[in-house]
Amino acid sequence: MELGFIALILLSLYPGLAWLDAASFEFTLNAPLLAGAFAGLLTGNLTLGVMVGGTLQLMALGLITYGGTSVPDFITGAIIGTVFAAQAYASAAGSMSMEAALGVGLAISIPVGMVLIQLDIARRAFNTIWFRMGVRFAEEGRYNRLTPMLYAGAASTFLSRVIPCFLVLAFGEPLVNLVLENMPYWLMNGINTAGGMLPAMGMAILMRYLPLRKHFYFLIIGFTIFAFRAVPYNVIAIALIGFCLAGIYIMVKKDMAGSLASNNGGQSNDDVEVEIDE
Amino acid sequence: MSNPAINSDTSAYKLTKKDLDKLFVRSTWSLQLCWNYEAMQGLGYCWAMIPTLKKVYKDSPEDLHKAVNLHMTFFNTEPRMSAVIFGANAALEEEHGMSNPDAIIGLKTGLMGPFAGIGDTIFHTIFRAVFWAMAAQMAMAGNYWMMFLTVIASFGRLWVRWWLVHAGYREGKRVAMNLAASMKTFTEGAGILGLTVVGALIASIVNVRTAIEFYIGTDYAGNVVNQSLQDLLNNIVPAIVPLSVVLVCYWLLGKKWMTPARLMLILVVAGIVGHNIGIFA
Repeated sequence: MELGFIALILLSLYPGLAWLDAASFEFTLNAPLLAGAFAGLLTGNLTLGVMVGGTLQLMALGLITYGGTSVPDFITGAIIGTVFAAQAYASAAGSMSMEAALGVGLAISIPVGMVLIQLDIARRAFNTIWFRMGVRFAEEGRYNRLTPMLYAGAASTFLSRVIPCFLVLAFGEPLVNLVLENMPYWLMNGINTAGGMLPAMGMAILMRYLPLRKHFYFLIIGFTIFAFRAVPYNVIAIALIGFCLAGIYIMVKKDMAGSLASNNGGQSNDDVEVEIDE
Repeated sequence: MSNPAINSDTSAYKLTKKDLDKLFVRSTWSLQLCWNYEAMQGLGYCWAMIPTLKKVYKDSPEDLHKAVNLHMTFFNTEPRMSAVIFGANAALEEEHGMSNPDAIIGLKTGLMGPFAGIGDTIFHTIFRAVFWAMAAQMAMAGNYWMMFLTVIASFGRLWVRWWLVHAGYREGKRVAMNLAASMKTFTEGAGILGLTVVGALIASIVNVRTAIEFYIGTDYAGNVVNQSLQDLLNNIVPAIVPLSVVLVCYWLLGKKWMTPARLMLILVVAGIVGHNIGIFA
C-alpha cells in the first residue's frame, strides 16, 4: 500500500507541531496515542494506530525533559511505527494477525524513538547560536530583533522532527520491508511479550517521582482493588487492604499526636519538626 | 540612585489585567521555544517580558535596556510553574523598577528551584499518571473517543497557568514564597492520588504472564499432568507478575548507572529471551 502525497506531508508535519505544542500550550498533541491514532486514521487502520500509540503512551508516562534532558521521541516513533505496521498488515492480506502487526509497529517505533534523541540534543546545542545573536541585539537595544531569534529556535525544533520523519516515511519502506521479511517468528513473538512488559517502565519512573516510601499503602490499595476484579476476592485481598488501612490509621494518629504536642509547646517539638521536614 | 518616574501613580505605567493576560500567552508560548544549553529558557523569558518592560519603563530607555539585558541570561524552571515567577516578576518590576535589580535576580533564581519540583509532580507526574494512562487504557479497550481525554484535561492545566500569572502578580514576591510552602501539602495529596492510580494501573496495563508449568504426575491414562504457575498465582494474588516486574524496574532505576533508555533495552531483551525460554507467555 502506497502512502499518498498529502498523507505523507501531514504525517511529517505532525511531529513538528506536536513538539512545538509540547514546548508551549500543551494541548497534548505530543501524546503518542494521538500521534499513533492520527497515523492509523490516514493509513486506514485506526485500531492498529491506537494499539501502537497506546502502548508507547503507557511506556512514556514518566518520560519528561527534567532540567533539559532529552527523551525518546515516541511521537515520531508512533507515526513511523504505525505507518509501516499498517502497510505490512495490508500487504499480508489477512495472513497477519493484529497482534503480529502491533509487534511490528513496536519493533519499529521503539528504536526510531531512541535514535531521534540525538537530534534533540543537536537542536538544543544549535539553538545556542540564536541565543548568542539575541544577546548582541539586546545589547545594541534592537529588542524587536529578539523575535526572529525566538522563531529561529522554534524552526530548528520543528525541522528536527519534520525532516527525519519525512525522510523515513518517503524512503524507508524498502529497508523496513527487508527487515520485516527476514524477521523470524521467535523474535516477533518475543517483541510482543516485551510490548506487554514495557509499560512497567512507565509505572516505575512515575513511582520514582511519587512519595512511594511514605505512602506505599495507597499503591497497594489501588493495586489490590484492581488486581482482583477478574477473579473472586479472597482473604488475601482483604488482608492486604486491612494492612494498608491499619498503616494509614497509625500514620495519621502519629501525625495528630505530633501536631498536638507542638500546639502545647511540649518538649517533643524537635521530633515534630523532623516529621514535617519529611 | 537615579529613580525615574516609575513610582508615580500615573496609570500609563500600571499593568492592567490585559497586560497580564498578554504576559500569560507570551510566556506560555515562548519560554521553551529557543531552549539551548547555554541559557536554557533565557531567550524565551526575555522575549515574554518585553511588552511588560516596555510599558513599565516607558520613560526610561536606559532602564529598559538594563532590564532587557538582565533577563537575557540563564533561566530554567518547570515551565508550568514559571507562570508565578512571571507574575511576581512583573509586580516587582512595576513597583521597584531597576532601582533594585538584585531583588529581581533573587526572585528569579530563588523560585526556580523550589517550583521545579512542585510543578513536575503536579503538572507532569500526576497529570500523566491520571489522564495519559486513563486515555491510553480506555482507547486500547475500544473507547476511541477517550483518547481526547488528555486534550480536554490540558485546558484545565492551561487555566491554572493563567491563574498563576495573575496570582503571582497580585501578591508580588511575598505570595510566591508562601505559595511554594503551602503547595507542599497539596503536592503530597496529589502524590497519594497518583500512587493509588498507579497501583491500579500496574494491575491493568502491565500485561505479562508466566508460562512456567510444573510437572505434577500422570493421570490413569498415562498423560502428563502439568500445573500452570499462572493459574496458581491467580488464586493467590493475580497480577503479582506485573507487580514484580514494576518493582524490579523501580529498583533498577535507583541505580546510578541506570537510565530509562537502558531500562527499555533491558526490558525488550528480557521479553524476547524470557518468551523463548518459556518464562513469560
